[in-house]
Amino acid sequence: MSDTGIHQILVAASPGDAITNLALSTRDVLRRVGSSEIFAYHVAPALMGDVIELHKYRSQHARNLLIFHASIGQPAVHEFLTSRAEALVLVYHNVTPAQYFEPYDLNFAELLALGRREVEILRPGVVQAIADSAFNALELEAMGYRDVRVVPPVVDFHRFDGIAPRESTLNHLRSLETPILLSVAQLMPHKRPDFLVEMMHCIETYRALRPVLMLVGHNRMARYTRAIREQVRELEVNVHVVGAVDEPDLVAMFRMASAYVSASEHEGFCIPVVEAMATGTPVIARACAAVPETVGNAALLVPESQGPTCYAEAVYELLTDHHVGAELVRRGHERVAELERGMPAAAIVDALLQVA
Amino acid sequence: MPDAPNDESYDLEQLIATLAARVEQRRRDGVYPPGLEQELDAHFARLTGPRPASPSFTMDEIDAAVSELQHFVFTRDAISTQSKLPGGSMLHRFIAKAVARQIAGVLEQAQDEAQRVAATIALLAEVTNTLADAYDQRVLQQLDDLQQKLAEQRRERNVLSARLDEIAARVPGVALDTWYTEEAFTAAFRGDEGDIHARYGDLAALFNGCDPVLDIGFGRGEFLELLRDRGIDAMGIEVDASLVHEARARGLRAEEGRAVEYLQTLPDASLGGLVMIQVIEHLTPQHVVDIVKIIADKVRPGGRVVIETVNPMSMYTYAHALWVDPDHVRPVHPNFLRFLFAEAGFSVVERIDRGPVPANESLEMLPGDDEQTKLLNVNFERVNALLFAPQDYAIVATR
Repeated sequence: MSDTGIHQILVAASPGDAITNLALSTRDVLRRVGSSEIFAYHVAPALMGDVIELHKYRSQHARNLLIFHASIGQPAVHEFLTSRAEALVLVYHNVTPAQYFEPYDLNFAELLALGRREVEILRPGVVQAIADSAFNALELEAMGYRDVRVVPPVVDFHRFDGIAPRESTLNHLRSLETPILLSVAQLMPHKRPDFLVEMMHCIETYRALRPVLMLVGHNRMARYTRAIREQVRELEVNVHVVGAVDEPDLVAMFRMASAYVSASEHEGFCIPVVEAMATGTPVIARACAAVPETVGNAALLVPESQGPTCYAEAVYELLTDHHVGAELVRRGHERVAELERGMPAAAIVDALLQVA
Repeated sequence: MPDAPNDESYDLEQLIATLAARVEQRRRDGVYPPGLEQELDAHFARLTGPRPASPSFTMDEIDAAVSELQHFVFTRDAISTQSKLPGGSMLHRFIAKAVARQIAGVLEQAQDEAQRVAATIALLAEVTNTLADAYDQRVLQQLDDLQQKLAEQRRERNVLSARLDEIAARVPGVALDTWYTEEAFTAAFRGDEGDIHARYGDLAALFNGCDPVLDIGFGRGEFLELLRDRGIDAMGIEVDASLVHEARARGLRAEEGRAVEYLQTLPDASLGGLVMIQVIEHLTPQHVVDIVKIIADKVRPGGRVVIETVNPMSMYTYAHALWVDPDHVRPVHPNFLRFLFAEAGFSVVERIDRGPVPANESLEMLPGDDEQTKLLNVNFERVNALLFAPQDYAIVATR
């Protein structure tokens, strides 16, 4: 790696991970203007070759530009960043507040807390801070950063368009013969799947609808997953903790879903809601963190102060009044187009070239 | 609800406000019980909170006992040096002090021993606790893993059964499930029963002296009637229950069943004759191959088999008859069928062409006998032979 260029640094690169996807598409854009690689401390085997292990970074060229995607702490990466002479650009994707994880995984919570501290410590060496939402920019400014640029993530929101749904999954979902509510998120405390399970209890018990909720996404936290499963079992609600699925299955699920539901309380941007809009699925979410900014007026936003009963009413409304769904689908497509216009791939390059 | 859903002013915020107000109203009306959301949150908090470890109260007891043991002190003060013996108190006190000095060492050792025992018990208690915890965690983890695997397998099973359905739907002749009756189909496409009697009289005559005869897939039972009229002992099997019912009502011997399965129940060499009219083209190639072998086993030497089917050597058949019935799997070539019966041990295997194409459908010969006309007519004959060959053929095989 002796040539000069703009390289991206990640703590971890794994397939399907939003930040990894973002780094990959950003790299494609950057390669149009020069050399660009991605280095990560943890590289999933599937990405070996595409992403380089951080310890292999050799360039001493001071004209290189390093882009650090911050989302979690990692002492080795932090040490690397503070020891380099290259100019550093910080892309802040938000670090989930540690307290969400303290009851379940202290080590992980500690890494998150560390992540915030590291972002603060890096400040003097950062020549440009980029946030992917105004919400994230505010957090950076609270840490003392100035002139934070908001650049929406370079994402192909239509990545599912070319993928055919798996026929057998479509058949299975059809055979359920009930409206499907889809949630795509890692089973993590700040995503509040427990809120959605409570919502299902409300809609089934007090509104006499029996949709099925599919919680799709990696279950990385055994203890939390167990608690959610127990909650589902004890409340006897129609909820499937599906786990991770491949793209043809996911496309089938989007195709068959009556609504995309999110109860997440902490999002730096929230790509999945936009992807849901791009597939023509109406979105219901909670007005928390960067979500309102991301969805604009294209989702049914339940105020943060409202509990699962109000959310259940929103779902009920959507499932029983087709006007609501049709309107959300229409606005969803508009919103996706709007976001795509607002984030030409060149925006990030533009931000970087000003620094370089 | 706003009336104009496509209006830009369609106000989602207003909708949410309406919903929130509705929740409040329902709360007041008692539809949502008081404290519902708090109860749900408390429920989840209980699930995520520290588990009440089952051995914990025992651990408290052990801790208390260990602590008591650790704080217990062996002391000389507890040993009485007083004497109530009359006049002997001085002597007794002297002896007691002397003995006490000697047992001081014993007490010290006992104290030391007690501390070690206490430490050992404390260690054991802790080990027990750790093991219980680890055990608890491990069992729960295993339960989780099992549930996860179960769910995965359920999903896989669903996927597989969905795929099986897809495959079954594509296999011709296996999954055709019609809402119309077989009777209606036959009436629409097979001519009336009088016609059939006239058309099949010659084939029925082939079974003279071949009792008993089995008619596989007898349909409306015309051939069974022809056999009965000739005094030939005959019975038939048919997959369609209503056709079986009707045949019985007409006094025919009929059973419901599938060809291969039914034949397998018969003793070897128990049939004098077997007939299949317009049936073999409904079978898969594997079934065709299998059934000839089974027929060879079940028909006694000297017995006779007649198989009539559509003729794939006639292009006319392809255009007019073969694909009218969606249950047809594929036509069977006469040469292959002859080969099968010969290989299966039938001594004489003959082919009879049946169902000639109406003369006005084929190419007409030109009048005249000059060379050119003759040549053209020879060519017409060739084309006619290929396009307008007879629509059906029958294989007549003698065991």
